[in-house]
Amino acid sequence: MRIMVYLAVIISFGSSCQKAEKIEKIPVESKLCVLGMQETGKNFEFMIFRTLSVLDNADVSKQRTDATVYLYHNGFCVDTIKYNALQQKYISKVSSVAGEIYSIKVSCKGFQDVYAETVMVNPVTVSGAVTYSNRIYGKDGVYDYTFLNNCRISTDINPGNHSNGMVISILEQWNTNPNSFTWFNKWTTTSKEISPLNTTEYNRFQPDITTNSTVNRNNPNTFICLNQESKILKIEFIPKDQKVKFAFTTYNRSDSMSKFVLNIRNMEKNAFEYTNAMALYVASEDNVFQDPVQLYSNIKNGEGVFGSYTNDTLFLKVK
Amino acid sequence: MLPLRVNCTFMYLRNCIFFFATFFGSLNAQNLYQVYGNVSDSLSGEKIVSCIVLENGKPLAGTASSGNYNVQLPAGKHILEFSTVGYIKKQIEVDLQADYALHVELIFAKTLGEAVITAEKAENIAETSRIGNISIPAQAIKKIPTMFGESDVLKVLQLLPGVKPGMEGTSGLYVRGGSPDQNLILLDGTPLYNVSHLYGFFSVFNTDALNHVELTKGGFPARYGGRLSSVLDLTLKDGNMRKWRGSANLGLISSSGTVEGPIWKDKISVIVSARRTYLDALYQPLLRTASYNSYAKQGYYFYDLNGKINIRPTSKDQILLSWYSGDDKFYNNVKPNEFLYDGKIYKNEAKDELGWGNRLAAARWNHRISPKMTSSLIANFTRYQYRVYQMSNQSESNDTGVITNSFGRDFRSLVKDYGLKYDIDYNPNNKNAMKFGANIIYHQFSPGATVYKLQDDAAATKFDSTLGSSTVRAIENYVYAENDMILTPKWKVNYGLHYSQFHLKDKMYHSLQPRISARYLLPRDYAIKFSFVRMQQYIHLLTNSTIGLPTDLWVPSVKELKPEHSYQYNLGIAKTLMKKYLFTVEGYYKTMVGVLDYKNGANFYSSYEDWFKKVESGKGRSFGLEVFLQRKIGKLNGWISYTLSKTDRIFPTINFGERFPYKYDSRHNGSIVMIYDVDKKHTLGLTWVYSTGNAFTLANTQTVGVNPQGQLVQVTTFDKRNQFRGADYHRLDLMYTFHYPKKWGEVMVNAGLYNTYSRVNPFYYTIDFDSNQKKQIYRVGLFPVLPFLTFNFTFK
Repeated sequence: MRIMVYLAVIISFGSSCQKAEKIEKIPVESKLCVLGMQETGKNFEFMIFRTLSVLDNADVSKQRTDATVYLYHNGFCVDTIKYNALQQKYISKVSSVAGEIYSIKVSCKGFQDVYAETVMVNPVTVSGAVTYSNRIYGKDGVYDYTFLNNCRISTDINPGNHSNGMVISILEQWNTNPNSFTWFNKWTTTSKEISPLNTTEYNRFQPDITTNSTVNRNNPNTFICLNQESKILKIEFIPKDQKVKFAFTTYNRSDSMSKFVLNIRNMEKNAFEYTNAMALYVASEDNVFQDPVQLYSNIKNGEGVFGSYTNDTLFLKVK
Repeated sequence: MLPLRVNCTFMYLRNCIFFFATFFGSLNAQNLYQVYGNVSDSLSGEKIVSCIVLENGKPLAGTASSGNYNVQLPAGKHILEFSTVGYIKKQIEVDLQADYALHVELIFAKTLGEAVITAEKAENIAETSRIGNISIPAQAIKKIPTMFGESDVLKVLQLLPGVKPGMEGTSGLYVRGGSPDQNLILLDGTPLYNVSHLYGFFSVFNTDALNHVELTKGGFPARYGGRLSSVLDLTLKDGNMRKWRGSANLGLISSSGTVEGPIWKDKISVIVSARRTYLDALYQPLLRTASYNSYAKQGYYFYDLNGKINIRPTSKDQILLSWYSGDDKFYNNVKPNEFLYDGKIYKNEAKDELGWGNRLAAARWNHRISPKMTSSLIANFTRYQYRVYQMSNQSESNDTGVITNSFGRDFRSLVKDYGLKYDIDYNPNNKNAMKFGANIIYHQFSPGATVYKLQDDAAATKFDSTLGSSTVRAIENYVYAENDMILTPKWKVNYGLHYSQFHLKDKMYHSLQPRISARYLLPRDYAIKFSFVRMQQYIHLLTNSTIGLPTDLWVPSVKELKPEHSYQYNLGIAKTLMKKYLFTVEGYYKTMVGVLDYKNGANFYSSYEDWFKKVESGKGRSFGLEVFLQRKIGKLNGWISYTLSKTDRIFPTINFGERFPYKYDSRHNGSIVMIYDVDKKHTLGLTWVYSTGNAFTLANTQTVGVNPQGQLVQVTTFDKRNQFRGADYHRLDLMYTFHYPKKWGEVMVNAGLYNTYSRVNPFYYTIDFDSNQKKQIYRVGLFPVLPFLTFNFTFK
């Protein structure tokens, strides 16, 4: 018996305690990664990278400059695009047309050719906007600040592809600098002028307050949160009228001169899926209690995205 | 007032009972008489479950969970034998001229010395028609080495074939490819939702209070329902009816104690069992010294409190009142304090608390209606709650007034059940053992609501609001009828039907679930067994796939999310070898529909969204082969088990709609458990477990992406979910027990080693630079070798 105990103790202390142990590499085939988010009406632009094993020390952010992008429209090659060293992008002479289908083939020595296709989405028009604001008065009865409350927006959207999605963003324009827009999600980490309250106190609200949301037209309830200071109260897609209606409230302090900028980004399916996945990826990057997020890609034989979007803006003034 | 549908189910049950009773009653010949009663321990009066009643070596009946039995015999003289593992078998002669009540007391074999124990023989596993069913003697659990020497029934169950643990050291049960929420865990017939402490490292069950443990993985009889993968039926001791006794355990992490005894001899007994960790009490002075704030108080503890009152008003009746409460709590508080500075008085107070726990209460009335029929009525309540509470109060005051800055946040997630259950056991003759019953449960789910309170006088802000998911109420009810029937000497069948309903405000789900298992005796006492079952589950546990947290949410099926259901097919061979070893080989195939998982990137913390929008419903399948060799008697007992299995999942969008391995899918699993009683004073325990690596999702590719703001960011991604296979898991635990008899009882000292050869078993994988500044993937383990020492005291 004693011998067994001694033996166990010797084995225990002779072996390493909880040291991390090296295991074999994971083989990964290097592919092309194409980033081509196209705004309707503008010239096609691409950035081309490659994928590497996570264990590779090489600089993955270095763009490939030796690739060729072939742009096709209605089955015909309309442009052959080379790397533009000045712009550091692959820029086409061809501009995109709303409602048209485009496809690409990208070739690069040492990599498999990759292919993708997208349809150019139509712009969104805002058909109605009603804003309400609440004023908060200080103890001395003097007007202190205001916030937007239960603002209701109605938009007509592209009736084409039903898999489209929308990103709704609310920005604030400060009276002191009309050219500068401030994302709401910055206010808790910037100056006291923007966030006079204790930052940590307000941070506790963040998990329940949302803004800048993405909505899929097929399932408007699955919108996602990109930043966190105003709340989308209700969002509704009306298939018959091809409208999206939503209401929102901000919890930010604003003075009477502030303007709010509502940005609606209408996204084609691939662009929406990719943006959605990237938003989730960014949000969960440091969360050890969550599975890694699987990124979306519509690039055949490669990674990345070829999709389209439009940006439409509405200015709302605090009354 | 019950809903109409619920009333209908009770009427259905009543009609079933009437039909079966009439039908089988007619088979009863006039010259047959009933021998009935209960079987109990001679010293404590404690009921004995699974005792076999035999005549001429031929089994006639077994005792139910209430310890009751009844057999039917013709008039005349008979010699009945009562036999169960660990007890001396008893033979009693009866001369039957009428129905006969026979209450039997068996003597625990250990009290007569080791020679008698070795003379016993194991139960004949070929006799029963059930398949996928294993019972563990409660006494054996304490002899099996576990982490920190804390005896733990769930960790012992993890060593059985078809059962996999979750993470290293935790009490999770993954049975035949199912998830933990697919296990129905019954404590004295009442479901318990959360069965672990300290993030799963300890189970909530105090082994001193346990009487009987039975795990069913397949071939579920009709009386069980509501979960897909397993039923763990834990029966607590009723309390010693003859004399007061007690026991105490001192461990490195926690200590526990149990007291039991008669309040009125052979009429009323009570048992109370408690356990608490004391790390917080021990470390508090150290933490306070290390902290700059003398008002600060941090710590963690958990406790369990079990109790049971056993009342036997008549020989036909038994009333059991049992309760359980257990909590975990992390706290980081600042006691109220004040100080004077610059003519102002400042006051501070803060609380940060994280707690979760169960409450369970049950009242049970066992009644013998007639020699052939017994009934059991249970009213129960169970609740699981998880709570995060944060509060801070700060104020400054001077002659002009007080300015307050306070904040409060109270997050609660709970599930609460009120249940009423009625079961009838009816044995019309020795060839039929029937059970009928009905159950109704009122569920209340509050998956997560937060109350915010904010007062900031300086900024003139006040906020008081409740955010989060609303409460969902539901009624679940079921009726069942089953019969364990001997068709011929070779054929034995257990068949039944289980019908359940789940009523929501705007939706009703229901399910008819056929259950059948059968045994056919082959030559040389080999038994071939098969079963087919359909199971349905109306409640789900939302859990992330990396670590089991108390923040996991229990949620019901709703209009948007259908219940889970499964079909399971089993085929196996069983034999008792050399009268000592139970040997089984079982194959199973299980399909599951409606299993849940979080959508890509969704998690619990984004609580602004309804929970059912964060999850996706999919399908799963699991199949495998299990080999089990068990020896329950003799100086050397234990088991060897091996499982070959595969399990996977498929969802519409997760993993782009492709099938992927379940996270606890591993091809080969095995365990060796040995308990060797060297002599009366020395016992050795050994366990060795092996399993091929679990499936991990590991990012294997790096590239560049565009974030929603249009900026380029470096990203790591992966091809497929759970595409990476971790390293094999294996571990050896050893324990030596020294029994030191005293006049007042016994001292038992347990010393041992967990993970004896300090294997670095994978807990997670990470990427880091090695000494040459090259990136490598590293396997990180959780526990190296852990020595332990515990003291157990038993008072006569």
